[in-house]
Amino acid sequence: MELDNIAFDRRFGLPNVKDGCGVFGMLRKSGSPMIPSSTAINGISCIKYRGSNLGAGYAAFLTDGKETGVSGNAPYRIQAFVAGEGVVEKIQAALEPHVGHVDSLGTRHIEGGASEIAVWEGHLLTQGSNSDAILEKAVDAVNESLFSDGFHGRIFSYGKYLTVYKEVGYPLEVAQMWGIDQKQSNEADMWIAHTRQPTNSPGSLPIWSHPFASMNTAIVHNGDISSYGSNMELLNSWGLKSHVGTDSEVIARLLDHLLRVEGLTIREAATVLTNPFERNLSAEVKNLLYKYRGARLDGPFAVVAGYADGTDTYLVALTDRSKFRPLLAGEDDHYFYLASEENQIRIQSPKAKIWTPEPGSFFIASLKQGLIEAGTDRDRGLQTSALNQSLSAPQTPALRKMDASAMGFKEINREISAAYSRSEEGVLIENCKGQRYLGIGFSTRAGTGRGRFKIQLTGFPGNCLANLNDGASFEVYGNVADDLADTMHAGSVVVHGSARDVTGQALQGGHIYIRGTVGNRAAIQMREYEGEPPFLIVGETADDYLGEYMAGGVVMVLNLSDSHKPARNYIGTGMVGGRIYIRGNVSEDQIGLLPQREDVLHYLYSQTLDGVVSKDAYQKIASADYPSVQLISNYLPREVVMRVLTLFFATKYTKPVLVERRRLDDKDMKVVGDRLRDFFGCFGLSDDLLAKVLGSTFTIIRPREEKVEGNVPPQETPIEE
Amino acid sequence: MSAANNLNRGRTIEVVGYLPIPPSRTKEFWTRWKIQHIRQLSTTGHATSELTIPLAERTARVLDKVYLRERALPDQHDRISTTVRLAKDSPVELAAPLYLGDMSFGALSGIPNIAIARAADHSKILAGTGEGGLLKEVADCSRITVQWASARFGVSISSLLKGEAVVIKIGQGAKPGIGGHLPGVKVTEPISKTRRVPVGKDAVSPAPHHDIYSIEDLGQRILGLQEATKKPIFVKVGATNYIPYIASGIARMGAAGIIIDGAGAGTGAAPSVVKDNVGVPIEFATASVDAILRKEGLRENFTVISAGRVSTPEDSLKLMALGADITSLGTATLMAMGCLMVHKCHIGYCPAVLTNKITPNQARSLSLQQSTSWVINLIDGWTEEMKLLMELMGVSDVSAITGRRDLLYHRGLNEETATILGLAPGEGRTDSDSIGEHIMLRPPPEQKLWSSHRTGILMDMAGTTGKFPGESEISSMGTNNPPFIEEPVRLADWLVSDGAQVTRPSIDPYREEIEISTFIGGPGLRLSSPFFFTHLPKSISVNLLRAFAKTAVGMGLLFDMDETDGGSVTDFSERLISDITNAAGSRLKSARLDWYLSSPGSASAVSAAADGGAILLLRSTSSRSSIARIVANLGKLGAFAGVILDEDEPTSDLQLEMAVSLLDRELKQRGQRGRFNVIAASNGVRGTEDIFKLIALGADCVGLGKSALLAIGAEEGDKEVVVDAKVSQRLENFVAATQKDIKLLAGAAGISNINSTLTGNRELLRSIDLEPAIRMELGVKPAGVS
Repeated sequence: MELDNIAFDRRFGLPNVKDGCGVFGMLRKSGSPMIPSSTAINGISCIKYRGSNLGAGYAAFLTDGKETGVSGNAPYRIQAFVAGEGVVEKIQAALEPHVGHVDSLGTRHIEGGASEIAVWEGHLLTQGSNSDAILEKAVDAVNESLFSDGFHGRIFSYGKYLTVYKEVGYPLEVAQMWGIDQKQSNEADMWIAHTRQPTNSPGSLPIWSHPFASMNTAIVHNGDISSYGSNMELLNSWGLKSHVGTDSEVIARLLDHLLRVEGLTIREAATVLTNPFERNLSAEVKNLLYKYRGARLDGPFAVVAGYADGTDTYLVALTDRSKFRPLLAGEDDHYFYLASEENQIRIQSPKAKIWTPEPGSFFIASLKQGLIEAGTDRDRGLQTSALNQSLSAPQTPALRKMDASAMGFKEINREISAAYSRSEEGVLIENCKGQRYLGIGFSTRAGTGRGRFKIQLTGFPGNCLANLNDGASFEVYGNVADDLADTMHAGSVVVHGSARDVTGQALQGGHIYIRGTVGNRAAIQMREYEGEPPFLIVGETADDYLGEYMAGGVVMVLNLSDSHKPARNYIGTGMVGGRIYIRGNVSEDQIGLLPQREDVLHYLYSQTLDGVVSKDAYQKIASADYPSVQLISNYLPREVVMRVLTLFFATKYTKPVLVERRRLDDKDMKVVGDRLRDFFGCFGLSDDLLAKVLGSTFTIIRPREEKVEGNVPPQETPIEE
Repeated sequence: MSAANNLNRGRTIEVVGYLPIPPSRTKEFWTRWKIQHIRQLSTTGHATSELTIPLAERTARVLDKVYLRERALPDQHDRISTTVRLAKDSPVELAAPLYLGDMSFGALSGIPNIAIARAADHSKILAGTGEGGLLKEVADCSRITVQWASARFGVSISSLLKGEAVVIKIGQGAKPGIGGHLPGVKVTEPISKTRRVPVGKDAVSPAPHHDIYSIEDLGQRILGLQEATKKPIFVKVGATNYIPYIASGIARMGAAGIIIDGAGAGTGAAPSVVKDNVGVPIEFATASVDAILRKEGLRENFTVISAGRVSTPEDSLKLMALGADITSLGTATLMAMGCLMVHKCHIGYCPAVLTNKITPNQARSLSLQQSTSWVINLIDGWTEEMKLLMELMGVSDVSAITGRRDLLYHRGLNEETATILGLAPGEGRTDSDSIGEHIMLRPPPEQKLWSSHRTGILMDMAGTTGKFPGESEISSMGTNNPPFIEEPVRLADWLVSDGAQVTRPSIDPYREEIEISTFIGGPGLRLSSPFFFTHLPKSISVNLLRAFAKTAVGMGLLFDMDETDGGSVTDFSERLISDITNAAGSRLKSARLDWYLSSPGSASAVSAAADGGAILLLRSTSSRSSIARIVANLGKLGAFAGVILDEDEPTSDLQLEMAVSLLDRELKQRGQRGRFNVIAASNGVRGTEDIFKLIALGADCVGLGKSALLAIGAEEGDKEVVVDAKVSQRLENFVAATQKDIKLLAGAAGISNINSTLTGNRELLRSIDLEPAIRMELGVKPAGVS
């Protein structure tokens, strides 16, 4: 087979294979029906566009004895890819001295899969408390010998409670190759599934397809971790030597080992892997993170993991600190879901409760215990409650209707342009099924239309809706996905549900109203250029980095359901213009990027040693939750405050923002009043609620106009381009 | 009135000639010969008499050790064609395989932007416009590309529809993984208009695109822009560790081509630490990208544009033979318009008025007519020299050169570099001219460590000189860093760090959380940053010693008293490393320690104290024998939390890079790394880049002394310098600036936690043309290998 020579030249080390993708996971609740393979296939196939024909796969978890969970004597299921003659015999010969007889279940060629590669499966029954470790060691050794001079084969699964089906192809093709596409043919307690988008494809071998299994753990993953090198070195130091070079395999083995060998609880293991920020950690967590620092993950990841220990079956999701990769969790009466995009869950369960786990969080559910960690401590109903009230669009006879369920985005966009050039009022696009780019490149300032145009949508439009919007009025009767209204110049977007990450990036004209919640990085780089300021108004809550890099315009988060956390962290970081209004309590350490508490306190302490700062003032500051600028200014001389600001709170590029907590005054109302009333009108919200909002305290965030002293004069600052 | 005319109201003196080239105080890639060569092309529009770079002008750059094979075929001259197609199936033909940089309005001051676009139109090639929006005069040209970058400056559906192609800018060679920042005072009316940003507010380009965190995200944006514009989409990236994979992914995602910008490329402004230490040279990137695209069947329909240090027509052809379809001229174009390479772009004062601040009523301005004609001449002369060289090579069609490595040979490359580039040695002298292995591994001689350039950066960081105390050093145009231009001194000089692009996002170090704290002996002893002070001269003044001790406490570091007199700093004892024989640490003496100390050739033991706790560390030489001894006796060293490997010990015979890496790997192999800290210390640690690379090779923390003394202007520790609040402040500034530098390198690589992610993460490093045996022992992959 054709392999990338450099990638396989061991002089240069193991290649670090990189890919992106879509993920899916589904677990049944106790007493609920088993999940057929067809459900997993549908759940991943509907986002086929996230992947490619270069890899897909599934893992089915099934514990015999079902709900009783007693299956101590289950056999290990060995699954291997084999390339060439004698490989099966080699595998058996390598395993048997360590683990006893291996029953061969036969070898089969995978029709349509990677050429010259077959799959061999075997069973082995081995007793003893140490059998897992002995088997793992033997598997690692044989895998290493099969991969040392080119590729000859690889054991890719060897647990008791799971079966992995993976190959080179699209998800449906892979299911067909393995013959699991027949309805009801394979049922399981839990499925995870994956479609792969490799940046490159050294030889297109199925060993790079997901899921990656390690004993009774398997994962699918979307991301590319920057900690790969450190993680790999930890695995090597644990004696695990044979790898295929993907970060996903590394994560599978780390999770398995933390649980099975290191004896961590699933919550502890998830904590280590998600690598929480140092702020506000307990001593126990700090110890855990120190001990397993090589197991901590960094960089983007959205991991969906399955794990069974013979007594219970767990579905786990891990998100990175910044939630760089999409991940949604869902729940209905019978099942838990994890997915990259909303339509993956909606096609199975239109009314499921769907929410986004927060950055740096984890989701855990088990067959027996139900939901253990939701990945958010907010009201999970909020993201969908608004939506469930109004799923269908009001019937406007003037609008041309089209059923989008079988249409591609190009076709829909052509229809939009055509309707506009016929001087029609607008279009109603029904039953969207995740189509991206709707309305992109459309402008009411060009062409022959009336200069205004309505685009109404129902269903679930995909990413990049209304990008570059230049005058159209979008109204969505449902949720929208990521990257809504990027670089919008004019017009409006009204969403009756919620929006996910990066809503209104570089918004520079017009307004966006979201009835529900927004995800990470809403209104980043929003700016005011000419004319009226742009607006983003959110009915409920926002996640991290709201208004990052903001240079103008107005953001309002109304928190209409009174969540205890209207917005998450790093609000207005790097903000240079505009205003953010958040209704409800936002603490000072949620705003901007602040220095670590210890670092500031160390500095102040050192100033007590030669008497610059009094011990008394230091004690007062140190006993507070956080040594904020305000607090320091209250107790310390101006020179010291300026020095602390320069060293810790400000840089040449970023200055602390101004924060006020108060009701909206007349000046505010002059700017936001009309828009606020318009928002309430759009969603049919009551005057009482508006009065309540206007009577509430807002946290108002804006950049300091004056320069922070202690920094250099502005005319000296360099151009950095 | 157009934006450009607005720029030049009032009385201005038009610049119509070249200024004399000033002498360069430091080694430069852009030598006088190169500048003069370009000036000659740009004045005459014809080939010069020197088609290839003279031997004396060749640097240690790998491309300079590569030669065109001459095998003249007669009567080719009239049939030589330099025409290439912009992209497969594109109606756009370029008269020569040349692309003129991606320099924005803002980085350049307007007139040069127009001159470049008009010259491209006139000569039927193509010009990039950077992320600055389009001046009207530029938008009126057709041979341009329009940029979609992370800040969306100047982007609207109407601007995207201008020009021949859209360029998604992910990164650039001078600073992969780093964003941009134009201070509010520079956002004047004309800038505001073209960028579509408010006047007077900082214009910030985020480090990553916040809608592109992965390959499928990039695919989504490519398809979206295709849908919006129906134009070919190019993706511009810096050349980084994974450039072959990144290029393969970009091709797979449906882009028409890639613009690869190599290390050492020019920039209007970039942090020096990033410019000098991130990214791989364009020759490695071009060859490995071409190879992987061919392997995966993706080469045919895909255009590769190579940029970064393309300094002569010969460079263009060599890069094409290594795999480029088109080469990009950025700095060369500026030189055609009079650039003197004085590295002043970022302070808004450009003697050639190319990059100066954009205001009305400038005293001097560039002549649009003259500069346009210079650039047209440059293209004509460059093309003519390419033709003459093609005649010598015996090739009549320029597009047939792409990937023809047989048209090249090398002299003096090591075998591994030659393998990655796919080059055979030339006849005659083929021996590698690299430095002997035994010399490279020894601790570097002190006199070679401190160039005036390096010391100048340190002093600026501390605020001893310069205008931005406590900030990372910013500089402009290409780097002259080792190993290619300045002479390499430490192993670190052959290593570069990664820039995260496409497969994962970089992290903005100023606006997003990057944790750089580290821990020794357990979570209790926390250092704010992974470095500490050590090795101050014994004769240091009491006041200076106290300043160091106080700064160690205040900035959350450690202070290793080493041989200095600890008696004068007892009031700062919270953060001291002291010899075990000092009273402070003696209570930690144990039987195990007695054993270690009494055995022959022993190192000393020290105690590190912080915030009330104390741990015990070994102090050992940086040598193979010490490492072997530690490893052999690990079982008996239970009382020790780790070791300080000290390069400055007289018996140290191994550079810290190698010692740290070897010990880290040995400990890992024995499953003992988790409980045993590896600390590196040397007066030869020159600053952030050495700290960062030593950590990636396996150190938890790095001790430095001389660099801090140099930074605060107290090089001779025994001289009584003015010790007042200022010196303490300088030290604090030096720490703060070094912290920012570390965050810049970490953020560029997509690392948000040093302690978990950088320590021992050799995957983040690549070696540049380093001896294979040394590279392998360090455990680092070579550049050009994913």
